[in-house]
Amino acid sequence: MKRGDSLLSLFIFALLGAFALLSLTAVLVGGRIYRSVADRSERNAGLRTTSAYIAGKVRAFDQQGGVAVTDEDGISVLHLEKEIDGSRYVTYIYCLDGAVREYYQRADRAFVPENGAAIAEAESLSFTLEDGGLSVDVRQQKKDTTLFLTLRAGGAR
Amino acid sequence: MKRSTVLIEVILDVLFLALALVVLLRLFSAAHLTSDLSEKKTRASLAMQTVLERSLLDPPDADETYWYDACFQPAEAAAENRIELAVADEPAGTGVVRTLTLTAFAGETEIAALSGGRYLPGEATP
Repeated sequence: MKRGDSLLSLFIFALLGAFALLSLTAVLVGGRIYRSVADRSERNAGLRTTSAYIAGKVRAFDQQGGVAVTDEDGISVLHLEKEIDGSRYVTYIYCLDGAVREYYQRADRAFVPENGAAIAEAESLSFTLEDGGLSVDVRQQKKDTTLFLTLRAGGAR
Repeated sequence: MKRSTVLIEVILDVLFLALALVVLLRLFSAAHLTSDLSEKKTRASLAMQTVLERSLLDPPDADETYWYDACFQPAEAAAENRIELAVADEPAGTGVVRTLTLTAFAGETEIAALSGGRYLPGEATP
């Protein structure tokens, strides 16, 4: 084999190596960016779901005496109450075991947090009734968000 | 002759790869920036909604600026992001319609806007 041929072979192998290395880098960078985009997208969806869901519920129950906040064994619970055919029913919204949960029952029954159906993932959720509105603090994927909702019908009790 | 053909082929391959990588990296970078902007817009919208709800309860008389950190959580003055509130009054009947226009900025870039209004009844004039 001539010296020139072996140099050419070496050059081609070096190029192939660079080719493989660059391809691998592109795949790794792409994978990392895909993961970050997917995480962000999930976080956004969770945030939008939680805020839109709570805002929608509070607006629907915004009537005199329809909204209350209590603390049940360290869990901040939003009570949304309505009278249907002479009986009072309440929807509870709270956070338990890493999820925002909701359940609905007659107002004269005891609150059982385990009965709730998971709506969205969250690390914590707390409600505070303020003058004229409801403040909602939610923590999802280690990021805090505060939402303030005006109670137009003076729904708090 | 044969050697130079092989060399040209390899060089063309490398050029093609470099071109493909540049396009891919630009796409990755665009995807990253778009998702970053999307999250900022979501957080800015929620922050603007909160400011608007509070402001409509007790409408301010003058323009205001609210400062926020990178996650659009309330922060001290001159933080990374901000929401500017502009107040405009328009006479209507015996009162005024106060329009509040909110504009969210990430750094110096405008990313979202929201507006709302409330009728403020005035004293009836004889």
